[in-house]
Amino acid sequence: MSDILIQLIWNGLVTGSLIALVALGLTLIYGIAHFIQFAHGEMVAIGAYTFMVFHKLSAWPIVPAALASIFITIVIGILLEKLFFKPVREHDPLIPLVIAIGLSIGIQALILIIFGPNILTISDHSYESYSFLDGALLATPSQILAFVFAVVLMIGLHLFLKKTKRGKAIRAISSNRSIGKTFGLSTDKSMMWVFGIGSLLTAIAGIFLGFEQNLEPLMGVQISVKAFSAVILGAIGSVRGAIFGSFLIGLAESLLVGLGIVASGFTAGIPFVILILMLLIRPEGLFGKRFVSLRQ
Amino acid sequence: MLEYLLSLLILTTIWTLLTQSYNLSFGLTGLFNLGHIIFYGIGAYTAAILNTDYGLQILPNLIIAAVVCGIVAAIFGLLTLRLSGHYLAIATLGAAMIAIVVATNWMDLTNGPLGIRGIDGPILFDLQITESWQILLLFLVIAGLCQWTLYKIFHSPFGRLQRAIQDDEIAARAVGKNTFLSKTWSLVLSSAFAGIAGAMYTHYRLFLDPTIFALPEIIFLILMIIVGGRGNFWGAILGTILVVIIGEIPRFFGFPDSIIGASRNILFAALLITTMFYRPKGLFTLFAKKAT
Repeated sequence: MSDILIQLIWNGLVTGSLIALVALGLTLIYGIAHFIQFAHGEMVAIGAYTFMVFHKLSAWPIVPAALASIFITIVIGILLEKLFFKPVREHDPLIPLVIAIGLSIGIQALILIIFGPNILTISDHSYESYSFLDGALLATPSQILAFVFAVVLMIGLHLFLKKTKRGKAIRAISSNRSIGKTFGLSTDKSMMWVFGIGSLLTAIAGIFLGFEQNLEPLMGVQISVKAFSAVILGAIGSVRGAIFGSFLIGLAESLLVGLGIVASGFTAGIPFVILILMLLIRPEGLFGKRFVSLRQ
Repeated sequence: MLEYLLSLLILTTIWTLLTQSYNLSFGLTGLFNLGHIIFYGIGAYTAAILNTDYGLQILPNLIIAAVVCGIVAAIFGLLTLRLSGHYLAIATLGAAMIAIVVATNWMDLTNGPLGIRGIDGPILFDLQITESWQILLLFLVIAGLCQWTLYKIFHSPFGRLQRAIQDDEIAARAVGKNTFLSKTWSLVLSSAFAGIAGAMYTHYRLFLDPTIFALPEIIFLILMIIVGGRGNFWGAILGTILVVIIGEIPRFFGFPDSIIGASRNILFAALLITTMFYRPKGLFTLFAKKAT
């Protein structure tokens, strides 16, 4: 019993880390641009597919392929901001949200046309699992790396936002754009950084997700809907909240299904049941401030 | 070719009603409820189950579907309408995800992913309607009545109150309006009409499976209302017709079947983004004399 519990907790932590990598970008983008980047999940798919192109089709080693794929995803993320979100930055937040929905279906369709609807594998190799605690815990190398990377990136992001000049500028612009401007901070630069960082995190999530599962054009949607609910769960715009919400969802999925409390067919509903229950108790999110108006 | 055209017209009639019902809660009251498709699905399933298990025909099914959807919407509203903005959007999107999971797994009720087959076509007082043009005529009458009712709602004091809530909820509250109750009513009415559209769909398609709740359907609905113009009665109709026509374009270019869906989505994405850039209020503004 305890054996399976350890394994389930580990699986939950890995899923939680992958969700967190996506959720962090979403929450940062929401914090600064005040809309939900619906196409953020597609950046996961872009990261995974470009990695597959370099690693499997062009036979590059893992590290250069990963760097190239991360670079391309960042460039695409920044371009999307410049081309599609910047022109409507001062509009009603519904407009960028709808544009993001359009981008999401457009990018999915492009991936489908380029790579076909079939499920692809990210690599020709298969890697042996490591065994820990006398076989109580099996972990693949990609799971271990995903968890380590997620934790390191979270700490890095935290330090970046709190300690560096650029991070402080991003937080200032997020909390009040016009006052930030008065103090000579560039909204454009902060936006670029936020979309860049968000894309970097999702590209990494995409590569690991590709190793964990497989590649399919809709792979981004499945993880991004979980990330949406993680972000809302923790209070949208909050970094701590997004991390907490992601791990909560990862662990809840893994434990509830693994221990047989919820039938496996219902897995996809779990994040949202948690979300809706939580919103009934604390409509402002777990890490949200009370008495703050939620009106946009 | 004629059959194809008729089937397209029938579906357009159903979708126009669905979009118009969404226009009430999303367009007029401004509830960004991404879960509207739930009520279309519940209406469809209600009609399918009543027909296959209890032998009820289209007319009682339409009414029962509307009532069931209205009741579910009232509960749904009590749970979610305290939220606003993006919180409401994601919570209701989540509700749609839960709906698809339930419809897939509750085998006894919905027959799961296999779907419900063998549904009767429209039967009016023992008179079986089989010809497509007759079905189209019947649906035009039903949808026309619903559209007329919705038009009346849009231009009633209740409709104006909804618009006021969208513009400034606090001001509406300040003049003594119970906005929570009005929002719930808007959701209930809008969902009831969505249920009618769902029941019509069931009795036309004669087959139903859980994909009716899926994300592409949600996006399709958003597309129709945003492109036409939310909050405007004619905008919803224009949007639906435009989206249906544009969605059929790839069929005529001889694309292989595997990428028809994808090329359609690219067209839809382009349509959505250009509309947002140049006519954020919707394309009906191209025809309107004054901006409303």
